[in-house]
Amino acid sequence: MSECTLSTQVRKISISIQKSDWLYRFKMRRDLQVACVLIVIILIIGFFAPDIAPQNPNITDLEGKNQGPTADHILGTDYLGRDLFSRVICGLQTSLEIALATIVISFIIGVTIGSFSGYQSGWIDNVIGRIIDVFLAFPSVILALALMMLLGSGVLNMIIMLSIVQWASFARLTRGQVLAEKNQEYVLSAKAAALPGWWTMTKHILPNCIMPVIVLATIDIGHAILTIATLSFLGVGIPPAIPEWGSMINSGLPYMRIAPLNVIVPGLAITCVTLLFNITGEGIRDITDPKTDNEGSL
Amino acid sequence: MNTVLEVMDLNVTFPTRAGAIRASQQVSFRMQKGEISVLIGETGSGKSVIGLAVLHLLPEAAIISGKINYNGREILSMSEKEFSRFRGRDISLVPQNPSGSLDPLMRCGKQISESLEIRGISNLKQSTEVENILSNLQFSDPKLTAASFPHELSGGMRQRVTTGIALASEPKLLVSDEPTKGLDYSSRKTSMKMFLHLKHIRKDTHLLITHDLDLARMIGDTIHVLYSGEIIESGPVDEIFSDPHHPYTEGLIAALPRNGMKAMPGMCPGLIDLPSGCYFYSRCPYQCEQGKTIHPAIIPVNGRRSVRCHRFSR
Repeated sequence: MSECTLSTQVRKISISIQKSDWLYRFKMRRDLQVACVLIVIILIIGFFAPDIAPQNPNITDLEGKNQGPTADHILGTDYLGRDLFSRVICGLQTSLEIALATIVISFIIGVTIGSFSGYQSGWIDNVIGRIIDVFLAFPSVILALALMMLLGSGVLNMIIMLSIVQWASFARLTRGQVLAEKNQEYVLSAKAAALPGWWTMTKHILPNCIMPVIVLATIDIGHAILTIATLSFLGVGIPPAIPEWGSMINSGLPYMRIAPLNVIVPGLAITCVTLLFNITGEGIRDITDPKTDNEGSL
Repeated sequence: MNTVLEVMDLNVTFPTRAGAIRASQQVSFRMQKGEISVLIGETGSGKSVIGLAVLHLLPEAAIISGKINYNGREILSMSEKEFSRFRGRDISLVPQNPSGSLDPLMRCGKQISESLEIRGISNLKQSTEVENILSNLQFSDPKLTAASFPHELSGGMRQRVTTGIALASEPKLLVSDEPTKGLDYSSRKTSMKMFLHLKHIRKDTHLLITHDLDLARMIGDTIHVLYSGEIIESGPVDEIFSDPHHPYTEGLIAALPRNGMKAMPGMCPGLIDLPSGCYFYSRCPYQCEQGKTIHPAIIPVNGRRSVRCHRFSR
């Protein structure tokens, strides 16, 4: 039948266009491919940091402090004689651990609350919407400082504190997406077909509006790493025994003239990792948003 | 009791700043089990409003009065919570716009099987059931269609998939809103073939809302012609087509391409400022004296038919 061949053709064409759509765009984006490979490398390094680091990052050697690069210490040592290279690698683990946990927790909380609020509408939505606004109205660093004073330092407390700061932006984005999506006709059809509300929400509305939230999550990993570094630079959050980039910069500052690498290397590490997650996040937005072309953002 | 649906004196009014829009006035009809009733009329004649009223899907601003009995139970005054037990299970809707009514990110087969899942059909049986439904809908390759996303299908195929979703819930009353709207000639033909096939194998009670006279004639049992929110003529399909009583129905049939495509003069009146006499007076070829001032009532003719025209009132 003609319809059979037609639909087969349609299918073939749509496989080459549609299914490939983001894959095709991904293939066109060399920069994004490089960024993704680098992220994978960074994740592997972060995961196996204690094994990769050539030395224990916490062994002090006061006789060899503030050294330049040598055969033993390829990036030199800090003011207590600890190996800088090992500390930077272990600092990556600390940052990634906190940032990823934060993003996962705030993503789950934010998407749940945001989609519930957007779908319910009415006074529930109003109340939740105002709560989200209140959280967003706080300057995040000041809120974070206050919470850290309350909770005390530590990796787990840092994760809790950052999640409290971050969830609201996910909730607001999801809420907006759901508000726009739930007026689509297929949602009305789902209602007419007697699908329960939670079903429509999780199986129809969320898949259709989750992509921008995933992009935000990727970019926010970079932001979280920056916030962690900022806080530990200010001396709150991470206990001194745990290697962390922000506190490394802080402790290296007095010796900047004799051992500049102690400030430069962690600083570069923060910049590169944040940049990498930003590039990836924007890249994902470009390839998944049909309204952009291959040139980049809107 | 064989009456599935009985609509009595249904009035739907939308208040607007320009005045009240009387979308539906004194609409009454009844449907027997297994009957296909067609509501026919041009754009703005209030056909879809009746379908939406049956399904409790009218916007909240609408002012509704009258009664709708479904299997002897009054459903119009039910609360949303009470009615939601009927919607999608007993009464299903085939929505007007098939492209927007399908979830763009879900394969068509899955969207049909959702209705099956709600009915409690096991996962194992679902896929065969979906293929069964799709082959009844005149799809030549049901497996392929089930695995397709909506954007991979043509408009006509999407229309048939939405019909499939409605049928999957095994409704006792199917309401389809303009199923052949915006389809090209060949997909419209396939859709008509599908409805005819469904009529023979399933014997659904079906409220068909359309402006497609050919579709109405092909599958309909009784027909209700709507004009400016009122039913102006009802009766069995064959009799209406062979011997239309109301001049508007005459005009509609004369406007069919095979009957020479003679257009009716004039426009139907706006629903805000309806004339006090017969709504069709300005376009009526007979223009009887009473029609100018007196609004005609609907009167039975020969038992099975009724018409809203002064020429039959004597």
